[in-house]
Amino acid sequence: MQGFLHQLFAGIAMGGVYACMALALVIIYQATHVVNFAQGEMAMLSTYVAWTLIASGLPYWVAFVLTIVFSFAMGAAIERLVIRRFPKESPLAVVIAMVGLLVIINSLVGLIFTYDTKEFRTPFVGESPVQIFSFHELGALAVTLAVMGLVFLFFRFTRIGLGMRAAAANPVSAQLVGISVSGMLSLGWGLAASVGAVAGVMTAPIVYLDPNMMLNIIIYAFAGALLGGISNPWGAVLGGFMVGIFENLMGAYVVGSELKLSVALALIVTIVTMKPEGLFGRRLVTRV
Amino acid sequence: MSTTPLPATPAMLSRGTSVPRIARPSSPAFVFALFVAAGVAVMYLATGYLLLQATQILVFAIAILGLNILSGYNGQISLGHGAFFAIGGYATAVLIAKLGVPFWAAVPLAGMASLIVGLLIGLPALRLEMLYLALATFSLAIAVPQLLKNKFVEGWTGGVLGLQIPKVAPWAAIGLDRDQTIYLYALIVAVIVFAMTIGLLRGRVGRALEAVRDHPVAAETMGVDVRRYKTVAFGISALFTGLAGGIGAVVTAFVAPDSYSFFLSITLLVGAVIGGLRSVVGAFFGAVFVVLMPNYAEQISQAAPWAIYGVFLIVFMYFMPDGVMGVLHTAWSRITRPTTP
Amino acid sequence: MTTLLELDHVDAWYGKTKVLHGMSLRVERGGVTALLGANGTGKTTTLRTICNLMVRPTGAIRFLGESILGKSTDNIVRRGIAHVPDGRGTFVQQTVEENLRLGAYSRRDRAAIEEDMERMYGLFPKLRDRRRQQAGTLSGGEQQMLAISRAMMLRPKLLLLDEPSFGLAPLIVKGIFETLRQINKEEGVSILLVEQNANLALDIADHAYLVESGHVVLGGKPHDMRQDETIRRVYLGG
Repeated sequence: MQGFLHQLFAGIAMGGVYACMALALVIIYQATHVVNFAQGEMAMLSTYVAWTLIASGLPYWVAFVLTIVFSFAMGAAIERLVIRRFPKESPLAVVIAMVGLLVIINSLVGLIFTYDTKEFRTPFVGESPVQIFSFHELGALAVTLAVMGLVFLFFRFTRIGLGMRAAAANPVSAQLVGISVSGMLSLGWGLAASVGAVAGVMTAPIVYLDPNMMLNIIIYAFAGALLGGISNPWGAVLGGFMVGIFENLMGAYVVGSELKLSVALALIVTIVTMKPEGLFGRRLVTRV
Repeated sequence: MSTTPLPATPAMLSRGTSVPRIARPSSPAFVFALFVAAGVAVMYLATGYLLLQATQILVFAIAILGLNILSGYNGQISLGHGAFFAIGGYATAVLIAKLGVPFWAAVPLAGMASLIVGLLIGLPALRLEMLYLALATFSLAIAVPQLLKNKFVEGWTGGVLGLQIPKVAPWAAIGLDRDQTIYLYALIVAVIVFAMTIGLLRGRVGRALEAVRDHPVAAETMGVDVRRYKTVAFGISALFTGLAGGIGAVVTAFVAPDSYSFFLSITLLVGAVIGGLRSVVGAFFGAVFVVLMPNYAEQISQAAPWAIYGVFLIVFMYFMPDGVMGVLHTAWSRITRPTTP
Repeated sequence: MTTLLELDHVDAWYGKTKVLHGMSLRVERGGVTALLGANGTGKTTTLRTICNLMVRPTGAIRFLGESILGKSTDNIVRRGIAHVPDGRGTFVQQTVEENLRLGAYSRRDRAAIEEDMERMYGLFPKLRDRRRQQAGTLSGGEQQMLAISRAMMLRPKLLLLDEPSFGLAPLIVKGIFETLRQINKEEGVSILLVEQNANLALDIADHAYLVESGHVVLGGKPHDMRQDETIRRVYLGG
């Protein structure tokens, strides 16, 4: 029983990471109608930035905050420089461009930092206050929940959050109330990149830091986002947690840890063919 | 069903009515024969590494052609075509290494396996929106190495270490060594595959496919069974890439899970994009690029080829969505446009 | 300067299709100007062109003496032009209150914003009852009230209205037009009104234009417009 509980809670902890990534994906999808295949690599790059800052002697949480700032700028820059240039009428072109971005980031990071695995310190060292979790798992869960909570409060209670929601829901009307929709798009990408960065930083101590670190994780995030419904941010968050638990339990008791990714793949294929809108979302329609 | 929103440029070798008769070069059949002759010449003139590269170019040309058929004619996207390459490679390896099938028979059989998988995937894939298909194939591409390593099929696939393939017997009867034999085999398969495609596309099948791609509703009302065409096209796409994977396995003489990583699918995608997603001939040029470019780029750094792939994907999608062949075709049309009286 | 808005030989295109051909009109400060005409003649396009929404315009468009041609929609809006589009453009997923706040998005004077919200609820009490409801659940008439209120939250100098009577019961329309009259007289908001219902429009307008095929064919005071043969026959039913 003890083992089962531990697996369950480990799944919840990883679920927090997947939920963050899924949230980032959905924020971007809602804002710009783009599936950001490069989201994982962006998060990975942010994690390397954090690693560099920490390695240069900065206290962990200072590096953490600076990383978030960097990620925000990076996300906004990518939207402004790359995404914006592709017209909405070519979703295929954007998909391929995002894959291109993925490859560029992956190879540049490999170039600068090499493909050697690096250790990433966790600030949560020592005895865990709650026995079922390891201290890092608990800390990661707390941080990811806090970040998602902040995002929720931002969207619900701030003027800009309202503006972003409006711009995503009805861009024409948003312009008619004086909202700069293009500004909101950059903001959305920046926000998503920051949320992704948190996921990356929280996951690196567990999976170790290397340029391919996020390639598997993004699949779980996709699965979570699809499960919850890629048009619904909070559904995606729930989906992320569900995938985390499911994947961990399947890996521990059914398929073995080497096949965990296939579980995610099976999940994705099933959702996409049976119920593409997921549990809580609406169907994606490619705008041609 | 989604239609690919790229500017409609006719495939290089479709009806050909846009080019005035006077200005047309020697008929396509002649040009094709030239290519084949050149290919045979290469077999005798190139040795060692060069011959290997030439073989790889043929392998990738076939594989990329598979992807082009899917994206150019079916209007679907596959970010995971490496999976078919893997099926072809592993099936070939198992047939040769475990069942003693001669390589020249193993490859087509492996191709059939890939074809069947393609047909099975093709039917449900029809119903998927482009983004969902992209997500699913992307996930597949990342999961392939793990799938290949898994315990349940280890007996056949050799697990993490993969399978060694016994070296093929050269066709000494016609005076070829091993490398030349493999090259010639690849050339023959390439010729058959390209000729078949070009031939089909110029005829009724090609017109039907274009109708299916551009005006599916109209095509349906005219009696074209859209679903059958698209499913078969998916299958053929898988067949070609599977054949390529099989030949590729013979070339490297082993298969291992990490040879079929996500980045293989990227390589195929890059080749398709550079040549032109709708171009048959483009597949060949795309192959030349992805096989030869790393040679030069790696001198800068190991990561350089990938950075270049990534940049090219973005740049091509923005400036040249129809790839190099699209640019050439537009340029050719401009040069040969009849002057208005 | 009494001319608030001026269009001078404005052409506009949707893609390759030209929809406005030399459209010229004026809205005087403090006045109500009506655009009359049949469907598809370019009235809605004119409003969109003023806001640079979905069309490509050429020619001269001046607001308060300054050219607004080619400026971004949100820039134009922030100068004081509020547009209530046909279909109302409500943020259906957001609440009534959020819709109103969005109307005031570009303003920073928080106390005044709260005051204005109260005023809107005063003008349209039904909105107060439904303030926390999702805007999409409101009836047609309520949504029109919401749309007008949202536009008023901008504290605009010019209000553009596209078919405010569309799809609404006559009693509700009467109430809405009363409110429009009130807004114009008491708050001094100028109005440019596109209306199929010529009678209604002419009742409230100080000046009217008849639009056909993307340009103005007739213009004048309502009294004179009513006398015109064409208008009487085609738009006023004899």
